[in-house]
Amino acid sequence: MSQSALEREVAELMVENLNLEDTAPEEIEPEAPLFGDGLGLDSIDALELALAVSKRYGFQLRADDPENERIFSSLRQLAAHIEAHRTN
Amino acid sequence: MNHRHAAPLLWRDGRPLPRDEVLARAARLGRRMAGDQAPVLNLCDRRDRFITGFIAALAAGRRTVLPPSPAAEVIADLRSRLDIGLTLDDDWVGHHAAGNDEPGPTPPTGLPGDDDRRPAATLYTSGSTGAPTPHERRWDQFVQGARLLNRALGLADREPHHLVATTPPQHMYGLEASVLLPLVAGHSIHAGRPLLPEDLRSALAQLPQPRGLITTPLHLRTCLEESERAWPRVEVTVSATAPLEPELAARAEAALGGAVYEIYGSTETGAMAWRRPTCETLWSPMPGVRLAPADGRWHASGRHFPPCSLADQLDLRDDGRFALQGRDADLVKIAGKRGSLSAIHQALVSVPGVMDAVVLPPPRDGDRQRLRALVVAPERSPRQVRDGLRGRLDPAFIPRPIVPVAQLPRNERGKLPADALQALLEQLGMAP
Repeated sequence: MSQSALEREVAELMVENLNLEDTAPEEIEPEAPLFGDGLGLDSIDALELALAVSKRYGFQLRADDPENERIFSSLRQLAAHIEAHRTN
Repeated sequence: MNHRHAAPLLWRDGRPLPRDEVLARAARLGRRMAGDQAPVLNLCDRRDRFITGFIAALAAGRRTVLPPSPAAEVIADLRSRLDIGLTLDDDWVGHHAAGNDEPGPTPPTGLPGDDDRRPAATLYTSGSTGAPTPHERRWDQFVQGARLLNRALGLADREPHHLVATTPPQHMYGLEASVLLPLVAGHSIHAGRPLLPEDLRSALAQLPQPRGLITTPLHLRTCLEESERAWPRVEVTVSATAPLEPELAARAEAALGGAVYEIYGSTETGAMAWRRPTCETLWSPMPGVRLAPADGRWHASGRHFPPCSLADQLDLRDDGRFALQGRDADLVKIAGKRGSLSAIHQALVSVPGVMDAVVLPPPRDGDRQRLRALVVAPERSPRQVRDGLRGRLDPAFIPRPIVPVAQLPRNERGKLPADALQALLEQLGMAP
């Protein structure tokens, strides 16, 4: 499945910030889970990712709202959330 | 006047839940658990449900088992080795604790007495050194430990504080600071487990003053880096699981307005010493803790934990305080978990297709650091190697990145000389 331009950008942000240099950004499946069995990210990664997203896109991610639980469910969901909330 | 029982134990959706009400609900849930002696596995993520399930098991005289990691294979392994009678998660506790207001005799709603020696919990040290090792605690030990922690944080003579914790309740620090401290010392705690900075900010803002924060250096750093926005005032902040740099502690005190304390402990000991990094470099052992060297290691004993040896080397001063002098070179701490480099190496070379490998400790000390690895696996991609490690290692110990190399510069005796390894790392652009 191919990545959109923003998905590719977010995939690059993840590889850069989460010590995933052994994964090519284009290898991250847009709909595969980011945590657990998929890319295998954990809560430390969630914090890193939140920090990187706020620096790059100018808004704060939240995870405790049930509405937001899905934002970390896949690259596609995360990119869609960023698209809807970015300020830069 | 004693307001203790009307005081809140939990805060849910910005509303206080009185201590008596929470204890009564847990006691009723406990009645449903009674009759079976088999231990109870508590996997609850929400702190209110964890606490309800924990007290219910205690009331029913059943031991709570806490897994070393939430990874599915770790839980499956525990369940296969232990006679687990019941597994609690958020849904189970939410469902059963809500529906148990049926009429009937009101059960006693207190916690066990302070000297009650019933087994309360089994915690595990994580399994990179082989099978997870169990550590048992009695209720009276937990009570002692929580009182000592309360005193160390300067809270013993102060009004109850309203706490938020970012740590899971399933490991020793999270259990002592976010479950036992409020239960035993009369504080209250937020029902959730805020993860991201914005989550934490809104959780704190929901609570009245005085507030307390139970967290890790990782969370503190992320929160303070993320924005210049003001934080609600936090009277007391507690940090553990990884070293807290004095510079970060100072920034946290400036941003939160209160004192930041650091706790030294382990699964074996629980919290056993404390310091305020902005004021002192030496650790003060908690009252009753005795430290003594024997056979090249330090041994600790106290009223709140069974005697044990420590993974760290200490420099004990005349006034009883101590400095930490680093640990065994084979031990690493990643994401708050202790692991053995040699055991991780063993797991790596057991992955099919891996001919040789070296596991590198994080490039510098820090709470965000990961292990790295060089692997010789001509037929496998790094990703395949990583997939091969899942289930063999706690996810925290899976190296990132895994860097493929044609061969490692081993000498004629099969050793990896430090200078040859350093040269290879420089060539790969991985040298610090």
